[in-house]
Order: sequence, then C-alpha cells, then structure tokens
Amino acid sequence: MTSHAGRVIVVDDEPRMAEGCKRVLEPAGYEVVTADCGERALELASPGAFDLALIDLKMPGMSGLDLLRRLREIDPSLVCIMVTAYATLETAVEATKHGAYDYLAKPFTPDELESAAGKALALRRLSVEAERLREEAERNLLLVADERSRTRTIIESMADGVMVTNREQQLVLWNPALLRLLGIKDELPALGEPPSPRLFPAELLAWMQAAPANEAATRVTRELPGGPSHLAASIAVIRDQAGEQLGVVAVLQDITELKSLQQAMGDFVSLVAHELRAPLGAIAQYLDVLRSGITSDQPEKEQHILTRCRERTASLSQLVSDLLEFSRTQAVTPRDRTFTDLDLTEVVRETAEFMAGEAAHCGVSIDLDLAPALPPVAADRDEMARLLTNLMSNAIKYNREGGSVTVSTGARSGYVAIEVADTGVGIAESALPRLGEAFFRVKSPQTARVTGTGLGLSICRQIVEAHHGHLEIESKMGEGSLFRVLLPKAGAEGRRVAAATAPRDRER
Amino acid sequence: MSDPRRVLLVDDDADCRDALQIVLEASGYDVLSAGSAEEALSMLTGETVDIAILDMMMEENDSGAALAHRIRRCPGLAEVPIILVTAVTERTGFRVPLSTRQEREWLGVDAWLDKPVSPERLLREVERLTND
Repeated sequence: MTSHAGRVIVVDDEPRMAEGCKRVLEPAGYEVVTADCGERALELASPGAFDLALIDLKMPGMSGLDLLRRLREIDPSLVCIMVTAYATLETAVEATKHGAYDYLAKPFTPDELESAAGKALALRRLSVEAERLREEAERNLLLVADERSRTRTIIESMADGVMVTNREQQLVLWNPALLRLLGIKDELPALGEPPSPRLFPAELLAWMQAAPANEAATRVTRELPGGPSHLAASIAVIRDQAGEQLGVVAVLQDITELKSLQQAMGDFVSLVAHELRAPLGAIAQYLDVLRSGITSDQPEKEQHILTRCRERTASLSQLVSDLLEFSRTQAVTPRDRTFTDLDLTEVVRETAEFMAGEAAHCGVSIDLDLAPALPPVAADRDEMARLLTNLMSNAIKYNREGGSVTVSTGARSGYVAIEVADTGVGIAESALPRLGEAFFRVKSPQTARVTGTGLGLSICRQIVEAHHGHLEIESKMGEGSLFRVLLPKAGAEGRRVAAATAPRDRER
Repeated sequence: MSDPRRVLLVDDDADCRDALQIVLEASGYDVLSAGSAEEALSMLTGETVDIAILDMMMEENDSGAALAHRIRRCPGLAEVPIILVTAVTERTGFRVPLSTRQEREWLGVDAWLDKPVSPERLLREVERLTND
C-alpha cells in the first residue's frame, strides 16, 4: 500500500453526491475515483485496485447489491459501504448478507463519511495483514509438507532396506527395499508394534535392541546370516540434539555381489598359491637331494638337478610376470589403452624375430604368410605384441621337434584375421572350452615337461575382448592347433562389427 | 639280494619324481616312475613291485590314498608296502598324523613322509619296509 490513506471508489448515479464524497475524502489523504454506474465501476475494478467502495444502493441499470456482489467477486477483501437514501433494516441486512461492511444513510455528514471510511480501511488493513499471515503460514506448511514427502520419497526409492524402531522398540518406519531384501512377501510389517520375529531375522532384531545400550558403538555393520541374499546391516542409534536416544535405524545392504567377488578373489589366491607351491616343492626336493651328498660322485646328475632347479625358478619368475601382466590387463580401462591405427604386419614380423631364438632352441621353424596390404586395426600396440608373443610362444612350446609355426594374416568382412598354426600335439576337444581359463593347462604326457603358468591364453583372451575381437581355436589331436584372432578393422566398417561385440563380463 | 628291489614312484610333478628316483637309483633300486594314478596302474599290469611310494595329493583329486587302495587290489600286490608322501594336505586342509597303528591301518599305508622328503629318511623307510 502506498503512502495515501487508501484508494476509494465512489459509485453513484448522482454526480453531486459522488463529487461531495470526493471533496470530503481527498483532503483526508484518500485517493478517490468516481463512477456513475455499476458497469463503469466494474471497468475500473481489479484485485487490489481499491481499498474501499462506496456504493449507492439504488442506481439505474445495475443495482447496488449486484455491483457489491460482482466487486467482491473481483476482490474478496474489498471493503464496501452501501449508501442509501432509503435506509431500512431490511436493506441493511440484505447488504451485509452480500458482504457489505457497513451502510451510510443519506444524507450523511462529512464526519460520518470520514469515520466510516476510516473504520472500513482499518478493517481492510487488518484483513490484508491477516491474509498475508495466512498465506505465509500456508507457504511454510507447504514447505514442511514438501520436505517430509521428499524424505519419504527418497526412503521409499532407496535400494537399501531401511527400518526404524522407536524408544519403545516399536516399528515406526520401513521401506519397500527392506521387504524385498528380507524376502517379506505375504504380509506388511505393522507400524506401532514391535517388529514381528516371524518377518524379521532374530539377529537383526537382537542387534537393534542391543544398540542403545552399547554406548561405544553408535554405528555397527554386520553381516546377516541366511536369507535369500547376503546382507550387511548397519545399525545406528538415533539421538536428538540433546543426545537423548529416540530410536534405532537399521540399513540393510545387499552384499551378494561383493561376496561373490571376495569368493572369486579367494579362489584365485588359492590357485596362485598352489601354482607357486609346486615349483617351490620341486626345487626344495632337488636341493635336499644335493645336500644329502648322494649325488656327489655323479657330477652329471648334479648338473641335471641344478639345470632343473634353474628352469623351475625361471618358470616361477615367468609366473610372477604373468600374474602382474594378468592383473594389469584386468585393471586396464579403455582410457589406459592407446588405440592407434595399426598395421599388424609389422607387429607380426617383429614378434616372429623376437621368438626366433626360442623356436630354434625347440627345433621349430616359424613361417610367415602375410597379406600384402593388411587393413589397419584400431589397437594398442603393446598389447598386440603381447598377444602375438603369447600365441607364438604356445605354438612353439606345444610343438614337436622339427615342427613348424605358421603365422598368417588376412582381411575378412569387417575384421583383420591373424592365424597362428602349429604342428604340435593338439588339444583334446574336452579341453577346448576351458582354454583361456586362468591357470588351466592341458595335461598330457607330451606336455608334462613344458613349463607354463596357465595364464598366457587368459591374457590373450582379455586383450582380444578389450579390442572387441574374437579368439577362435581349432585343434586336431596329433596334428596341431590353430589360434585365430579376429580384430575389427579401423574405421566405420570395423566399428560396426565391434559394436556387435561388447566385451564380455569378466569371469574373474 | 640277487635282483634289485623294484620301487613304484608316483607323483604328478616330474621333478619331484625325478629327484627321488635319483636317490633310489643311487642306492641300487629299480624305479618305475609314473605321473598319474592311471599311468601307475597300467604299469602294474603283469608287473610286481616291492614297494610303492605315492604322492598324497595330485592333480584332479587323484589322491595317493585312493591309489593305495587300488594298488592293494591288484593281483599279487595285496601286501605291498606303501609310503605316502605329502606336503601339508593342501586340499583337505588338515594333516593326517600317522602316528598310531589304527590310523595307518585306516589309510592302509605303512609310512608317511613329509615333502620335501629327506633322502636319508626315505632310504631308511624303503629299506626297512622291503626287508620285512
């Protein structure tokens, strides 16, 4: 509201009357607008436009009562005073029924007018203030209600189960996830009662009951035995600002996946331990034989023992390197790999050169059958070298004296293919599905002396999968094996085939 | 002693087997060496041995104790002395103490040696059991 005492509209078909009012009220600080009929008044009216309306009851056209009603529809807090020359009790009652605040009987004195207007405007100010307070209170309530429902919505949507008990150990809150995690299906837990031992695990209830007494542990996390999944319960005492205990909240988390990861890690560790123990045991056994002096007069036996010990330590070193490589390959994220458009011809040549010594040592020849113009692949160079080294090393180790390893390259729709074929012992069909499993090694009398860690192929598989490729194995017992790597070509065509080959979920 | 005594040696680790073979051969024993229970049983067809030294824990749950029972069922081998050799039993997670007669009888073996096997102890046991 501005500095003036108030805005007044005077509606009267007699201009003399309207002007009279104006003359009285304007000096008292009011802003006065006049209208000579109801229709004109309605044109001027809008919510908050006027604080007070002085309405002649008897006008041609729209009656004063009609105007009163219409004006209050526009602005319900508008204060209206009816002016009438025919003041009767009935008209007064009628006017008040329609929401008039007061009435003035013509003729009235300027004092009467001013006093009526003053009272009316005081009321107007009060009602405006009341309205403002009411709105403010409503807004606050809305906020409070909103906050409450927001919290409620969050708790309802949580993936973790939540339950709260009060000081009397009655259940006061639970969320749908709690029911899901605990496998509660047929009945809803009742609020305001102690949580039913039929629905809730006894351990959980015992922990919640014990929590308030345990001053030291305001929050404990424990694994809940049994149930459809592995659950961890975090229990906390709810306290107010004064430290007074109000209740206990338990949050249940599904840790099934975590447990299976732990299990996989445990399995892996025990596999590694087993793989370490075998060579260490053999070396220790040889050393005990040497120490006993039994072979002291057989230098050739001693040399043999020392050579085998040396070879077993070499295989231990290899195992450690492979383990490091294995964990690195598993931990490598796409961002750690440097993908470049790579011509594998060069990598194959380099690797073949690198492996020449080992091949010669085993009496195996390496033949290259390389496509003249191999399309590039988008690949990490180091990993490609590692992949080819592992495949060629296997082809050499599991070969026969005088055998050969043939590495060939070529293009296939969308892919670049590299094949490493050997003339070795072959792999039994039953063993094929397990190739690439960490530590799996094909056992046969022919391979007994071949040292290996059983990690080489699983590293290959990881690398190939990280490049959206395929590793295919064909083998014939007694004739040899063929390892085929298919890698998507660089560019649009390769991306299309790569998209169809999402890296598989890692098994370990 | 006219013929050399024959020893069956079974262990899935070729080097462990090799080391013990060196020890036994140095003392004049004739060694039949096998890398698995199957290999051992096929070697025993039509052959006899004076003693068997078996690794307790081999790959594929191919345990020396099970092999001991099968060897005892081979013709002419019901009474063959058997020595079990083991690192701490890694898969069962417990170690079988072979101190008492019942335990030895339960497993049907005559001696029990820890890995790595002491060469002196091995020769002592083999000698004792083959001279019974």
